[in-house]
Amino acid sequence: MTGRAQALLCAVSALAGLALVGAWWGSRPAQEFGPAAAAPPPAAVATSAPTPGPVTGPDPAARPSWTARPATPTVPAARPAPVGLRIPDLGVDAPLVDVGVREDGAFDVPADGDVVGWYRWSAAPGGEGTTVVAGHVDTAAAGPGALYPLAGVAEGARVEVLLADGSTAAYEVVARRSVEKTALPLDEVFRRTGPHELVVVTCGGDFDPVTRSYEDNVVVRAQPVP
Amino acid sequence: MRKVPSTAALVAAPFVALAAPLALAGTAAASTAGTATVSILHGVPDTPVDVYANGDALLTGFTPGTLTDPQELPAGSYDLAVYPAGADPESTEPAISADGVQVPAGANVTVAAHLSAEGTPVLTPFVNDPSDLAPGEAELTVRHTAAAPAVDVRAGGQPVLTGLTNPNEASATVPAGTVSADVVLAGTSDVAIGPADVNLPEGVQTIVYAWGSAEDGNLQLATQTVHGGGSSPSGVPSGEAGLASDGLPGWVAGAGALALVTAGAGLVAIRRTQPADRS
Repeated sequence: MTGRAQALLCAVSALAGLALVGAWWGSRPAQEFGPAAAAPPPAAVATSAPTPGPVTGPDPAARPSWTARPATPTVPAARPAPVGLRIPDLGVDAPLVDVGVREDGAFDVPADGDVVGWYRWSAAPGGEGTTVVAGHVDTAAAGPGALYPLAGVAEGARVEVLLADGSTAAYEVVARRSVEKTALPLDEVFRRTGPHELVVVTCGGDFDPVTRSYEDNVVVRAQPVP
Repeated sequence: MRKVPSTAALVAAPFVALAAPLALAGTAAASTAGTATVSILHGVPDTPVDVYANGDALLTGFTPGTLTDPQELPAGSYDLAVYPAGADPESTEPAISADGVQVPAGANVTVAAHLSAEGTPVLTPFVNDPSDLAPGEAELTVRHTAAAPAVDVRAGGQPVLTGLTNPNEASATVPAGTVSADVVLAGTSDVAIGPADVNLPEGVQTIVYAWGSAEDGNLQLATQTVHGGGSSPSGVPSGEAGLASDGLPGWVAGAGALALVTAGAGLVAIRRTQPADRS
């Protein structure tokens, strides 16, 4: 073999090597960011040791002030339901439909990958606790779903939720995590109390071709912005 | 429907100035470590009061129809006394008192100052124990704390809880939403309270107190919500094609590295052979 042929072979090999390593590097999942969950709401009152007094037993008067509120039944004004989800940076613009749970108890993610589901028992945007929406990252029938690019969303990205009354609730992404499905912190994702947040969930991680399911959930948390 | 004789675990409600020991949820009554969650409801019509615990003012100017936010209290034994607002506890007989109320660690309790069926002011501690709920369900608990005979509770005109007497409670699991609720004399359609719209949030125990006096025509409702019984979806299955699978497998990088090493080795080999070519 001539020196030129050898050199050519080396160059081809080097290029192929670079291409393979580069492809692998480029396809690595994006780095996660942000805290895993909002800080739990503080306990109503810090506890401390009872103050000694002339009477036996704990001294409840040592607690901070008790607040009493009228207990007359009130019905809070219904908040408008979310009807659309937009993440401009990712080109996501999908209709939202309200869904519950399937017979097996799992989130009834819409079968149509182009449609995203709002868990109807989570908060409507602006309400107490989390508003939870989820969509298929891909479907066997139609390929990539509306939330296909979600795993690449950047911190600070704007998320808009269109509401049934024509207004828009705006959010800013504060965290993106990949969580093993078996370890998804359900109480944090589906939180009924505490500060309001939007949680967007899809699938990601390794795909098991036998069970035709992904091993992870991609969980994006966004906080309301004016 | 599930009916809980709330006072089964609680010794009889004490009457005026009667120092009856109360035991909440008997088994844990001896525990003094830790804390309990306590709310107080004022369900005696017309009279603002001051509430004393173990001789100290706990809550002053407490008005009828109000409920305190839940507070964490050290578990233990409490002597509770209720005086007309502004009265000097040294020189005044309490309107209601209950000594030795055991508040066990970990318990969630609402102490209600209310009228007995006969119209006497009493203190009744209720244990708040939300039931497990499936997604979409709400728990409705009704506590009869009014000077009134047995009642039925109806939602949307249909009886949900029947034959409830003071100072007992009954609960039912219902679909979440807003219902038009009313209270009728047991077995009749004579409306005693309501109808009133009551919001029953999903996954939450909503406790409705019927309070006041039938004789005085001031029967009304008060509500309290307790979280903890709700459930979430079991998971979020949201992909089925594998197109978004995590990156390329490791062997791709391995093959690339191997190709690079081969190229490097080839270059070294060429360098070594070059001097020979020149000679």
